[in-house]
Amino acid sequence: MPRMSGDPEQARRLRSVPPDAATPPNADELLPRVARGDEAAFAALYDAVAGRVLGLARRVVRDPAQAEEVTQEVMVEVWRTAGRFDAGRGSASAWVLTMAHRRAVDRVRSEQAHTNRASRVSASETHVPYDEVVEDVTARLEREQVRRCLGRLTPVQREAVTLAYYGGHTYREVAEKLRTPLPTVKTRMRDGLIRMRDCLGIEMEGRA
Amino acid sequence: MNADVHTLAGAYVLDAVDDLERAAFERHLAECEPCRVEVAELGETVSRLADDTVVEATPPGLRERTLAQAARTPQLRVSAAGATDRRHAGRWRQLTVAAAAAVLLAGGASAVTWTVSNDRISDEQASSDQARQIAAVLDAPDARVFERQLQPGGAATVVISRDRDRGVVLLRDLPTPGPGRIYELWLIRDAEPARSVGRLAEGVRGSTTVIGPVAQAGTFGVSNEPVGGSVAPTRIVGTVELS
Ligand SMILES: [Zn+2]
Repeated sequence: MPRMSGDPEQARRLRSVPPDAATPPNADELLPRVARGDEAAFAALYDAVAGRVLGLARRVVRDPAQAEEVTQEVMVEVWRTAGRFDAGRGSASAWVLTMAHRRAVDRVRSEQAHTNRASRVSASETHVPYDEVVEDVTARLEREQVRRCLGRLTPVQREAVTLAYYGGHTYREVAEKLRTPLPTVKTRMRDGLIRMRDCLGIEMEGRA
Repeated sequence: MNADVHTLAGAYVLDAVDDLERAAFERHLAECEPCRVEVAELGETVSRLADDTVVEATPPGLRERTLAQAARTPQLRVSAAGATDRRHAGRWRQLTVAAAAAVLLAGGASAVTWTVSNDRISDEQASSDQARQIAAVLDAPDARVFERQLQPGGAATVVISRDRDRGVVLLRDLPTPGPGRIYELWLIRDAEPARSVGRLAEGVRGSTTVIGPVAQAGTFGVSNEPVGGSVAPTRIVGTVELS
């Protein structure tokens, strides 16, 4: 397990996280501890979510070095603002990934201001490659569920959702690409996500 | 409230909106419980899409750098009681004045109530004289909002206060004006020559501009002109009736 130089107390706390725990502590348990300044919990949270943060950042910004920068920024921001996390409004991993997606998209859009958009557009047009397979069985099942649920959307819903999420496009850009009116794209995005939500069985407590 | 606002929840959780729309929708969220629930659920849904991008191992250097940086970064202290307030404060702080203007749009095109207080604006742009002028217009009890899609693409939003005799114009997503050309802003009153009230810099495709006096103006217009502007509009790309 990598350790930080300097502070032996810190290193001790970092090592106190079991590196091969059978069930890694989940993000929802860790984040409140991170909010209290628990660095070991932060290291464990990093291990629990950074793979998805980095993967998402790579998918959206399409540049490995920049994706790493995004990941570092996001994780430090998670550390800094952990106290703002409100479990009543969603899961810890969704909170982190929302931050990551926003940050990645911001990066793409600011870059877009001075580079040619065309190459990125055509790159994302070649579609979302679903080919990275990871060994973890639970994670794989979850991903299969996501794919299965994505597969239940209409083609336009799916295109709209994936172009926006993986491609970092605004709904205006999506409308242009799909040659679909703006209000329709907005509706398709929402309808598609509602269908996915129901397929994944996601429900807030207290929803009527 | 414009019924269309609610449908933005999908685009919002996908980050497929621009900063203005995000600000407007977050304003709406503060007032709309069904949308808050929907955003929470769809946000959860969307984050599952990241399951499919996971990388097995992040580079060890990245882990080390991140943990080290966190260790020297002070945490934001949020008391349990103040959590909600501060979260909203943080969100508001991200608003630019232009975004705040867009917040008004959520209220529709009739007379509006300006709800973002000046100190929130000053957070962002305290030193800016223009920010104060914008706030004065948005703050006016008689402020009205008009919005039009423009012919060649893009949109114009005009907020007018006859009392203050000033307006705020937001232009966005206009097509590139072309080499050696700019966009120029005009106020038009029946049977009088159009009066130039602003010019964008060369190549600029969007702006937030304070215009005035507006008391007598019936129509706002945008035109495409050579650099330096024209005495009268030559290629009008869009007009907004101010009544
Ligand atoms: Zn709503």
